[in-house]
Amino acid sequence: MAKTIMTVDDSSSVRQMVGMTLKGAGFTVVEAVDGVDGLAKAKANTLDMIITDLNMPNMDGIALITALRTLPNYKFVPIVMLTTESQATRKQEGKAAGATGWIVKPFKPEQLLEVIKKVLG
Amino acid sequence: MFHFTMDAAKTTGQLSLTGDMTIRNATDFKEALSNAMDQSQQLELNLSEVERVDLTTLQILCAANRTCLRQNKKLTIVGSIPNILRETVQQAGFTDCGSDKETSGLWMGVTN
Amino acid sequence: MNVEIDTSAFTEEAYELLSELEDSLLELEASPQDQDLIGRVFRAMHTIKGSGAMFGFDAVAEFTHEVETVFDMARNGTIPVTKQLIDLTLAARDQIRAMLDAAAGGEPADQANANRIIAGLRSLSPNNKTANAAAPVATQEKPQAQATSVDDPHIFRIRFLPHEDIFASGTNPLLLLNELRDLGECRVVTITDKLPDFFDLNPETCYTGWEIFLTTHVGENAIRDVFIFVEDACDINIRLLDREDVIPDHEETKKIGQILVERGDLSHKDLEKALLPLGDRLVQAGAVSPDRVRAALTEQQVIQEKTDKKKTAEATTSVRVPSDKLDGLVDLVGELVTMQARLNQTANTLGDHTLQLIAEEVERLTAELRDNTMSIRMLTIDTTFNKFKRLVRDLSTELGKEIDLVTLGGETELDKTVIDQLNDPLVHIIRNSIDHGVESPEVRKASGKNPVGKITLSAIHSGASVLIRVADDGAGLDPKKLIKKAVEKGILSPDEELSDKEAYQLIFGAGFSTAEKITNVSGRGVGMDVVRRSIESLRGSIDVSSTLGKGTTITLKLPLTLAIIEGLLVMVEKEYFVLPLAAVEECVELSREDVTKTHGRHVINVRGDIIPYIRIRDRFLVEGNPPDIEQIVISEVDEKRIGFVVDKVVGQHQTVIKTLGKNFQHSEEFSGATILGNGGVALILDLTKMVRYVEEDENTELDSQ
Repeated sequence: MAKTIMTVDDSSSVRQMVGMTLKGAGFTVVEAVDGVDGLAKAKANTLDMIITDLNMPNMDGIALITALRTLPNYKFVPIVMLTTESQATRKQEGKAAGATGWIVKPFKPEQLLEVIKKVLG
Repeated sequence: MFHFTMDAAKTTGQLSLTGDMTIRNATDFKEALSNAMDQSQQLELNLSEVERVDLTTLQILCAANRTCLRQNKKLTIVGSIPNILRETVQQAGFTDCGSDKETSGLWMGVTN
Repeated sequence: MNVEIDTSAFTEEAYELLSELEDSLLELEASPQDQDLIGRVFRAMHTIKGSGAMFGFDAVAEFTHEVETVFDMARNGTIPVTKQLIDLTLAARDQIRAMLDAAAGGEPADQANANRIIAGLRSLSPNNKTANAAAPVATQEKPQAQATSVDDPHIFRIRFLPHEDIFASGTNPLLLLNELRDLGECRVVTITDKLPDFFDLNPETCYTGWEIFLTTHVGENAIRDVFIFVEDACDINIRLLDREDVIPDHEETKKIGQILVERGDLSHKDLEKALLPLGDRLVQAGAVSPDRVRAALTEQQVIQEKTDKKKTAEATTSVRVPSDKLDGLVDLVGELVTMQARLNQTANTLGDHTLQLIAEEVERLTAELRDNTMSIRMLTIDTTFNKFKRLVRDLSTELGKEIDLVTLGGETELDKTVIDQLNDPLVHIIRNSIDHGVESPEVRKASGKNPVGKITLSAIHSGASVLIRVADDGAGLDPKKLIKKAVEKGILSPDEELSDKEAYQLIFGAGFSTAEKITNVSGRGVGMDVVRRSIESLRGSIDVSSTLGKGTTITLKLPLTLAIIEGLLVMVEKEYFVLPLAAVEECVELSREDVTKTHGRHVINVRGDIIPYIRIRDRFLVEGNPPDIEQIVISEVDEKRIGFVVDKVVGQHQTVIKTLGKNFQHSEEFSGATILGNGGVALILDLTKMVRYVEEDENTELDSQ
């Protein structure tokens, strides 16, 4: 059974890149454009993992992670955040909110898959 | 997810587990197991329909086994062992349920 | 894994973001305090940078990084939003656009302009220093396998004790164990002493810890990288276990109690209390949990295994011995083989059964000893091959040619003596290939070949021989040219007809060189004839094949060893001779009738093939009368079948070659002598040379007639 991963990013190109990489690796992909959209789609789907950007309009990544961890279904689901090296403090905030790990942007498809292997198996 | 039956003599209970036994359902699993243990002198676990397990599953099973031994109850695994359980036991290194040799009975059939 | 990514997804988005950016910047000029607008600008830059790098627009990403850095400061309130900042950012926006256009095939972007904008942006930073250290585009913190030492793996003890709440971060600790397993050989001991009674258990809490003993080539950093996401959610302790100073060789591996104390699992006091036997009593005393004892036991075991492995490795390392000692050993083995043959013969003559059994046993041991001794002398040929890489490089450069040397079968083993004597002939052959074989790059291009020539040097086993080939992809040999040259030099008479194969053989003639130009690289006509002589002195043979325009291949066939030869022992009257078994094909009878039928011409019909023969009796002027039925040993010499007539074939004989004394060395038809079991001496025939001398003699006879 293919596992389902949601990519949350306001950049369509990042979503597309992540999406293509995931599909190529055999995952089912759900796309969301910001935190609000992501939270709604998380409730509507059964997701095995979430990859979210941090800087997004409406609801940012940290708020999304915090909200997801209060949902029984997403209490223990791996959540990986996309960060940049200039966001060391954001990384800490994300971890505190319940993120499982992070990927530093920019990244290559291979690196994305490595991290997925690390947190999802 | 959990199905519990008792034999006529009311001594041996059988708890069948199905589907996802990971941390998502760990609380429910523990509760079901706890009830089953209360009612039975001998408890048989049927895990053949289990699809997903993780470390929490193993911790629950292992702790249950130790407690049963302490209470002079018998906990056994019956039915076929799904590969996912076998693999997870190997990965976690739970091969003899932690430590004491006496408890290793629980994994008989799982680790070989 | 490679994922194809369509870059248009990025460029489309970037153009869109840039036009939004323009609007945002103009609005921001009107209300410079608007955090929302600042955030929007920052995000646009951030996205362009991030996506740009991912889609391979590194220049765009690097440039945008500068703008983003400054806007991050504006966002944090470190610097104010000024007209200057907005001007620069607008200029930067146009620059990014230009860069995108350039990538899509437009005019190249003005780099000087980009540098001006970057300098301007950096000057806005209150802390110029940090801004100047323009961080390069971020790269993923990739786990870097930090190889500490390639040859020897290390044992790490990794204590991984997740905090109780580790599951709350969505972490599955088992995956981390799997990652460690990918790094090397893992021994995992589970620590479950924190696991409470079932009824007190919180099912969403992690009670389990692990001690992992990892035997690996990677360094500590690679191991730490595995735990990068969980640093704050676990206790992790990594220790290198196998430092040599900890485990001196002579001392026994550390005692378990000692290990427990060292690991801090047990106090000295508790250890003394329990004394012996340790493990179980410690557990009973409640001093340590059974898991800890198990971990300590595993630690002991892993280290012991490593120590054992090391000892074995040391035991198999090599010993250097002067080669004359080896030669001495070979000589002695040779004597032993001879004596053993005598023992066999004596035992058979006496008919003593017990003695025969002993003789058989001695024979078996001798054979083993011989094989072992010979294998000691065997060396791989790769060292010789590798020497030629430099030769080819230097020579081809000197001649203005480009040539790749490919070597194959370097692991092939040959007797040390053969290898030692092979160097010079190979140098000659390779020089020839470089000089005469491979054409100049211009010529090669003109004939549609790769301008870079190729010489392939290969070695391969073939029965009791090794074939060494030097193959070039050059011009090949032209038989017509060879013949013409030979005629010019007076080696060949103009009316003589030669097959291509025979023509190739001309290159081995003394004083023969086909190069139109004499270079200092190869040949002034000394070369191939010398090569042939040295190969033959190694009891080998040399062969040429060539395709005009495609290349030439020279094949050397060499015996595996020089010291021993499998021979066929034959008799003529009372004289013994040995023929190299490798050349022998079959034995047939020669009756008086056969001789009469062929009218005294020395040929015989073997199943339709007419095969010439040489009478050993006649050749070496052995006195006496031949028996009615003689034996012909049919052998292959220079790819031709030829028979050798003897009185009697005695049988297979393993022969230790003794060189002939100086007095006999003029007699090139013998490659040596051997001592027989009965103490007699047999001469070993060099068939190739014998055939050649016989042919020469016949030609002389013909000429004189």
